Formats: sequence, structure tokens, C-alpha cells
Amino acid sequence: MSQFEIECRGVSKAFDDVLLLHSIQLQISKGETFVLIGPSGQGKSVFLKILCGLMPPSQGEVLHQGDNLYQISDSKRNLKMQDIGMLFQKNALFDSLTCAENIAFPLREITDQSEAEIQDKIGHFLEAVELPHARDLYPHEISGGMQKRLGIARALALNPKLIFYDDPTAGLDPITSRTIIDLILQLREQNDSTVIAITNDMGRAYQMADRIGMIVDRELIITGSVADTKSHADPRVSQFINGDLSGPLTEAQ
Amino acid sequence: MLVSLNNIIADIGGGVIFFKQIVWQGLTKPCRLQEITDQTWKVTIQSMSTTAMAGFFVGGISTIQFTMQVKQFGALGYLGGLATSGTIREVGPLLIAFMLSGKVGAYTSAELGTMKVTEQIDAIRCLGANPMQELILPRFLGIISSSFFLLVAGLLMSVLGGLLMGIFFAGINVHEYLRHIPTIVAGGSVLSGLFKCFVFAVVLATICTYKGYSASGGAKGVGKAVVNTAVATMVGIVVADWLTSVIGDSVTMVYLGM
Ligand SMILES: Nc1ncnc2c1ncn2[C@@H]1O[C@H](COP(=O)(O)OP(=O)(O)O)[C@@H](O)[C@H]1O
Ligand SMILES: [Mg+2]
Repeated sequence: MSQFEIECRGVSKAFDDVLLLHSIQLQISKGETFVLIGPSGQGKSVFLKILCGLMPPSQGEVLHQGDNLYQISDSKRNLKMQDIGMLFQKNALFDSLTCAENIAFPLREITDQSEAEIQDKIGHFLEAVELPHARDLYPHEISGGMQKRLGIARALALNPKLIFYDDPTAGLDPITSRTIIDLILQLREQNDSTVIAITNDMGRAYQMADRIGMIVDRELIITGSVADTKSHADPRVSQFINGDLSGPLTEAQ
Repeated sequence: MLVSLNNIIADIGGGVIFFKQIVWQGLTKPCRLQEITDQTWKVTIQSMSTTAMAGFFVGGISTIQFTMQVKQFGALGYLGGLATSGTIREVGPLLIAFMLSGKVGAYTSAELGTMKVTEQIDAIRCLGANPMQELILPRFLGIISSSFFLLVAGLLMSVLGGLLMGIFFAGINVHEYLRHIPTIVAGGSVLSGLFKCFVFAVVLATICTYKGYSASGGAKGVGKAVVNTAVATMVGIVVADWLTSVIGDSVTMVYLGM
């Protein structure tokens, strides 16, 4: 039994022989919040999918509570997946279902709760993400920020212990971003969950993170706590967090 | 040339493996009955009017064709039986399959393909549910069961269409047209038609769910999946028709001791 909630051992990923991630090592403890940053197109979303069991790595192992996620049986993995919540970069809401039905989907499919309990839960989650008025609307009828919040509510419906957020504040105004991060933090306190989040909004990253890691040039640089990250020696890290135009990230390679 | 041949073989292999997975899913962890009936109802309603109309005209066409043939032999009395038998054994199931392929096949692969490229299928997996069980199996079984209802409706309409043509085109009366249907259309014809319909539906349901489920690459990928579904189902159904005819004939030969 491993003491880590998630462990990554030498994870590499290639698409059509193009190497995207190379031999990544990572350990995440229970209750930790780990934030991934990095320039776009470097493989943050791919890494998150590898971590949560959606995409097998080309090489290496991903362990959840000590079990190799891609080698256990399908039924065992499904059980583990029920303990995972994921907010997708583009939300991936069920577009043929209303907001309420989106939240109800996991409850109906996975649990044996009665209809009354499910209605109760729907009300509770819609309340938590401030969407009670959107109950019977379809995802395409609500705004981007509301879709994100609905995505969060759906991801949390099964009370998962392990939550992945892929860019929860992308394309949102600063105030909505802040509300969403506050919501994420508040839900983390309530459920005592482990959180792995991608964001390129450094303010929000600092607000959430216990530890930060940056994906760049096929590797994961674990930059450490917020203070450590701010004073990190790697020029790529300082260029990225300061948003400098000149530096190793923008130089032609 | 070699590359495309390779792709075709890989595609067929992928489809067969997918079919095996669906069957395995059905045997180990089936979906709820209500999901199947929902899908069946949806597909049947969607295609009922077109199938019925097409059945009506196909019945009429085959009667017209047979009229010219049987007239030469002065056997107009057998017109109803021959035309109906041909429709039930062969034309009916083939027609239903083509109808379903155009409507339901395209719809299903577009729907599943969109869910795939917008990561809704990943989302289902991430919630710990099984997309094979929740999405694929109900659609697969829904297409197969609805094809029986549509077959029955289409065939009834084709008998009606044939009957009307018998009256107006061949100039025989209702009684005469219907008289030889029971003697020529034996149980074997009906069984053969049902069997073909079943095989076509399985081919169609496998291809459209497989193509949709394996779509990738945005809207363009969905478009490609739909086009591929249309082409593959048409070819698949015709090949399956040929196969079932060959097998059906051999079985009949053995059965009759020839
Ligand atoms: N399923 C896939 N097949 C092929 N290439 C992919 C696939 N998914 C992602 N990629 C490629 O991986 C790279 C990184 O993508 P992504 O993880 O989305 O970047 P980020 O989230 O860091 O912006 C992109 O160049 C993308 O083209
Ligand atoms: Mg991304």
C-alpha cells in the first residue's frame, strides 16, 4: 500500500511517434491541492487525462492508492472512477439533458438512491453552484461561466475524494473566476478531497495551490509551494509566471 | 492501394471486435429494459412513415414486374403469391435495412460521434459509468428490435401496394390476388425474411455504433464518421444479403435432400 493518493512513475506519452510527455514522476498526498501550469499545447490536459484514468500512457505507471490504474480489471477501475470527479476543459456537459438531469445522471446510473433523494441532491448542488434558476434549461442555453459551474456540480455529485479541474476559469471574467475558485476551495474543505487543477491564471493558482508544477518541454518541473514558485531558479518558470515576452520559452528552438 | 486495403481490413477487424464487446456487455452486464424500449420506440417512430411508404411502392413495383412475367404463361392467378413471396423473402428486408441505414444509422453515428468528440463519453467514464452499457447497448438493441416492427409494417404496406397494382394494373380481383398467397408464401419465406432482417439489423447497428464511438477530431471527424457509416452499412448489408442467400439456399437443399 502506497502512502500517496496518486503516484506517477516514469509516465511518457507520444502521439504518432511525437513525444509529448517524457518520463514524468509525481507524487500527490491525500488532501493536497496540486496546480499544473504551463504554456498551452504542452500537454497539461493530456497529463490530467492520464492521471485520472481516461488515457493510458505510452510508458510508465499511474497508481491510485497504490493500484496501477491501467492494469486493474475494468470493474475495479470503474469503482475507482466513481471516486473521481472531473471538470473538462470544454465542460463536456450532456447536451441532450437539462442542467438538473446532468447532475442527476451519475446519481441515477451509479447509486441506488430513491427519486426523492436524487431530487434533494439536485437541489442541493444547484444551490451550491448558484444555478437553481437554470434547473430546466439545457447546457447551450446558459452562459460559459454557468456551464463551468454546472460542470463542477456534476463532477462533485458523487462526492468524489479525488477531483480534477481542467482550466476551471478559462475564458471567464475575473469576478466569475474568483467565485469559481472560492467555490472549489469551499467544496474541498467540505469533502476533504484531493484536488489537481490546471490553470494559467497565476493569481488563481496561488489562491488554490499547496504545490505547483509546470509542464514545459516534455517534462514536469515541480516548482513547490507558492513562495518557492515565485522565486524559482528556472528561467522558464520565472518567464512564465511573470508573462515576459523575452526568455527561453519564446526563443526559437 | 495497399494502404487503403489495409485500412479496410483494419476497419472490419475493429468492427468485429466491437461487436464482440457489445455481445459480451449484453451477456455480462446488460442495460435496463426501459432504455431498450425507449430506443426502440424512438427508432420505430422516426422511420415508420418512410418505411411504410417505401413498402407500399415496392409492393406495387414488384407486382408490376411479375405481371409482365406471369402473363406470358397465362398464370395471372399466381401473381399475388409470387409478388408477395418475393417481397417478404428478399426485397422487404433489404429495403427496411437501407431505410434504417439512411435514417437511423446516420443519426446514431452522428449522435455518438458528437458525444465522443465533445468528451461526453469520457465524462461518462469519469463518473464511473460504462458507456458500452449506458449508450451503445441500448442503441444497438433498439435498432434490432425496431427493425422487426418496421419490417412487419413495411411488409403489410407492400401487400397492400401490390394488391392495388394487381387490381388496377393487372386487372384481377382481390380474391384472385390473395388466393395463392397462403400456398406460395410458406412459413419458410417468412422465416427467411425475418432472418435476413435480423442479420441486416445486426450489421447496421454494429457499424453505426462502432463508427460513432470511434470518431475523433472535432466536427470534421463526426462528418467523416457519418459518411463512412453510410458507405459501410450499404456495402455490409449487400454482402450480408449475398451471404444469407447462399447459406439459406444450402440449408434448404440439405433440408429437401437434394
Ligand atoms: N487524442 C490526441 N491525439 C493526438 N494528439 C493529441 C491528442 N490529444 C492531444 N494531442 C496533442 O497534444 C498536445 C497537447 O495538448 P493539450 O494537453 O490539450 O495541451 P494543453 O492542455 O497543455 O494546452 C497538442 O499539440 C495536441 O495536438
Ligand atoms: Mg488544455
